[in-house]
Amino acid sequence: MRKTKVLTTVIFIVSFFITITSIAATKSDVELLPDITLTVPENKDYIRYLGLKGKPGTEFKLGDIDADILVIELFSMYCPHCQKAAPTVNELYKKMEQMTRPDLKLVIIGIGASNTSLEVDTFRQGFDIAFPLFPDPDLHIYHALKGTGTPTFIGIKKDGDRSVIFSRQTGRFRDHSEFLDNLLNRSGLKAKEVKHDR
Amino acid sequence: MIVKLLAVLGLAALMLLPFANLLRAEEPESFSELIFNPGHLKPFDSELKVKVGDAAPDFTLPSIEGNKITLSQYQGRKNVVISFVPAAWTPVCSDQWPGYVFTQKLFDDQAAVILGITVDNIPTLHAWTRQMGEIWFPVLSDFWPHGAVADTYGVLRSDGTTERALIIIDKNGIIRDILVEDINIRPPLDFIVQSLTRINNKK
Repeated sequence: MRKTKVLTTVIFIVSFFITITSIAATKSDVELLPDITLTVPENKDYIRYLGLKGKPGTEFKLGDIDADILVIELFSMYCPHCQKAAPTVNELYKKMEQMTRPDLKLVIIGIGASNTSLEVDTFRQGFDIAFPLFPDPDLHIYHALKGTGTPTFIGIKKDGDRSVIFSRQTGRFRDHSEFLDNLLNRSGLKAKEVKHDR
Repeated sequence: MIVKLLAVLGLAALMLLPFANLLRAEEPESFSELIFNPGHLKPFDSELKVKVGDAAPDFTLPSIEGNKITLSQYQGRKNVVISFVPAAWTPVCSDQWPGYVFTQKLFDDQAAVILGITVDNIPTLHAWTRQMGEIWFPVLSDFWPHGAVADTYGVLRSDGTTERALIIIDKNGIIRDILVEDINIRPPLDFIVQSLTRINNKK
């Protein structure tokens, strides 16, 4: 009887620690930004916006973009939801520009999933999009970023010398300020580092 | 006493184990979950019966607007881009035409109209295209006789769907370009633009 009680107690204690460890592992999984290469655009405003050092036509890595928070929109010219979302995403870009300051740089780019350069340009012109868009005709960037449909918004932050994906959202959002608030909260940036008006 | 307390906590924690993943930040589900995914299909399953330089076989098909459209009604007026897509409510098809809806100006500038054709019936096409926005081009049903027009062009597959094909026809009714794309891949807009630009001698 005594042995049974001891054995039962040990099993329950071990179960407790297994469960707690499992939960802790679930929450502490860090998703590093994959090593993805893009081409430095010809547009000098884009080069300045992204903080790139290379010459147009040369390669750069996503992690080279100078941003405390980088938002990547996976979109497609053919996606009706992306088309409907475009005006709101433009507002998001403007809000991010308003909030950017020397110690907090917020940047957004778009990746045209399965789109050619022509299709990306057509989308940009059609919606008067001011932030850089990059074609991904063979979907290798989309798959590397584990895309789950379009539009998808991926939040990336710097963590020392590495870039970490901390947020994913598939589907349109209604309010660009609310989206940005939630994104900044998820980023874990300290409250005093972020001052934003709604 | 402490041991018993830990044992009870252990039991409670064990009951939480199946729900561990819910402690992650919740992520919205993909909106594409409603679309039927047929998986990877055999890229091509037909043989073309027309070629560049041929007079485009004329046809009349019902449109979702309730009227009938005849190909030859555009002769002398518009270049025609026939877009065959395999089936309504499938992934690649569901986003090809919304792209053409968005790029109407591009087609207007090239004096071109699109005729969107599938082998689905009118009610199916009507429901499917409602989610694409304001469709500016005729959407035609090649349902009955099943796939007859697609078969005339040689783009009817053995399962009764069509190839993912673009047939570019000039104002004289002559076929100027044909693209039968891998059914699993959306044809690039570049093909249409380059073809129409050549036809219109624009640079």
